[in-house]
Amino acid sequence: MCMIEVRNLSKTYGRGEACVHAVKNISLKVKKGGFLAVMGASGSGKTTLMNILGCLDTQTKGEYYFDNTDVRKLSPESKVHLRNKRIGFIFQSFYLLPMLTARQNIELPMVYSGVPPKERRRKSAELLEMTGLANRASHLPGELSGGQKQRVAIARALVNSPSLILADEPTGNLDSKTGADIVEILKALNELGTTIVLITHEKAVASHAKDLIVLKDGRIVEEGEAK
Amino acid sequence: MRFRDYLGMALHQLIKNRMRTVLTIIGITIGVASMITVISVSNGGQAMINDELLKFGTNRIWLLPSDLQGPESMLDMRDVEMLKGVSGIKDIAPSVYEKAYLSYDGGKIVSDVVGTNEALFRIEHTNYIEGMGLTKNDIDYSRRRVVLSRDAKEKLFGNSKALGQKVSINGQKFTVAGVEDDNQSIYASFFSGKCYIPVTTFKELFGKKYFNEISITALSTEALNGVIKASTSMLLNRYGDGSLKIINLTQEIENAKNILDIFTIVVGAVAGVALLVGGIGIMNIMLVTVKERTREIGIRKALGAGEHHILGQFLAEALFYAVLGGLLGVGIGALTTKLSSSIIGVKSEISMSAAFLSVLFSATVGILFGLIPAYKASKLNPVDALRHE
Repeated sequence: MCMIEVRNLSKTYGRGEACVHAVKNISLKVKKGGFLAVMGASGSGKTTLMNILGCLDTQTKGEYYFDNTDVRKLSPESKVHLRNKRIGFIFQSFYLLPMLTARQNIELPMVYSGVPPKERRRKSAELLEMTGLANRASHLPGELSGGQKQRVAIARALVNSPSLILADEPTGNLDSKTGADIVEILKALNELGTTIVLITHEKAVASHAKDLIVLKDGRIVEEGEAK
Repeated sequence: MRFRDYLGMALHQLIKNRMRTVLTIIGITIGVASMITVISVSNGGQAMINDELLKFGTNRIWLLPSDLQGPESMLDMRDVEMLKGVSGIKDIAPSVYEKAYLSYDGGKIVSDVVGTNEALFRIEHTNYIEGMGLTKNDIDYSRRRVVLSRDAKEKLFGNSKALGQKVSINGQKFTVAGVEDDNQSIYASFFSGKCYIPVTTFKELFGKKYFNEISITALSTEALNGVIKASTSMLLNRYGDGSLKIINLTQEIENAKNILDIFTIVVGAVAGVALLVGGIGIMNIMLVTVKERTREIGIRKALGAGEHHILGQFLAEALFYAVLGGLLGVGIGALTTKLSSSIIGVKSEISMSAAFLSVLFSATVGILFGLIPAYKASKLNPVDALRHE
């Protein structure tokens, strides 16, 4: 049972001379409950790959099956639904909305999926508790530390109980201790059954995953177990 | 996503950017305020002119020679008798004017003397400070009785009573039968003389047998056109085409209304332009907002916002600007209406329909001008939007 199956995936930007091959002919599988780390230097195509896996971007060539569904055949609305309900994003620079409080940020995906306000409040309180931010609920992102911001972002990613979490350099903007805390949270989530794809350039972070691929110039140059 | 969520998001944004909100809605506010002021004041003016004209009675028709300076050989008692045969006529009153000296107890003034009959007082709904108007008997027996205007009475008698006193008109003694109150109408001064005597006595005194005008009233507004037709054709038959002028206030009211309508349309158009400019202001700020918040749009899309969510969010903001501006405009419009009415001296009420329509119109402006920026926002590619600095 695969959560993600990618065959011969390529992504090209631009045309003719200015054409850039961000991702070249990549094939990979992530099992349900898997934990894949994607490593590579900057410009190696990690983020492009993650955008395609997150249905934020579309591949130029190749096939992508999300939970056995051919993503190419999905309507734009179905992709929106997928991002909203089945995928949780965690970004390097957190991407919290600066004008919303921690709680409002966490509740945002539920707003789009039409969850009633009472239920939103209950769920966000639960997640704030879980991430240890209960006393930061009405703080704006500007009033939170980096680690707290990332925990808000994780809570937000989890709010609709997704089956896949895509984390793009989640520790990149954090000191090593805070980064380690975040990785611990991801590991705990994986143990509860959530599939995780973690993009990082730090070997120490990648070592917490089960599987590992290394990208270079858009191609997979190394593949195997993480340890 | 719920309606409440859209409203909440828009309100949140507007409160966070208070200064921008105020500056953005100012255009719409001015547009709506001026629209409401113009409509309310001109409605008030219209009502006032109508009132004024109604004091004279819209049923009234003036018949007078077209050549006012011409040979005075038109309109006499025979015409009055003939007109009595026209069906639908309520009252007929001839009027003939002459200047004369009025004197009492050493005081002397020059006054317009009007020779008329008892019907004129009914036609003009005259009110009296003292006594009453001329009677049919006064006319029939050519009595030497006079009704003074308030102005003439005050000049001759001061504060003392005039009723029953004798005043001289060109040396002839007349008994004061009554004193009319000021006619409140703004048109009064054009038509009313300073004193009234029986038309029969007037003929003896000044030797004039032709009238300056004949006033008639119809029994009802419906009968009016029939009366005008019948009486004109009767008189034109006698005096020839083009010899008569017919004045009726329905026409005057119509004219006044047309002038006011033109005024309303012109000033309303200016207000409409202000609204349009306000709408463009909203569009401008919405375009800036979308640009500024590109990253936010990308985040929202990554979190599962569909195109319609983003479209709705930015439309709701534009709509909020417009409706807020509109409501504020109604408030300010109410104030300026009050102010300008009291300056012009017109009684006017805020036109509720104008208020409602203005807000509706500004909401439409908001949606129309918000549509392009909101559409742009909704179509942003999430990856590009996220990468936006």
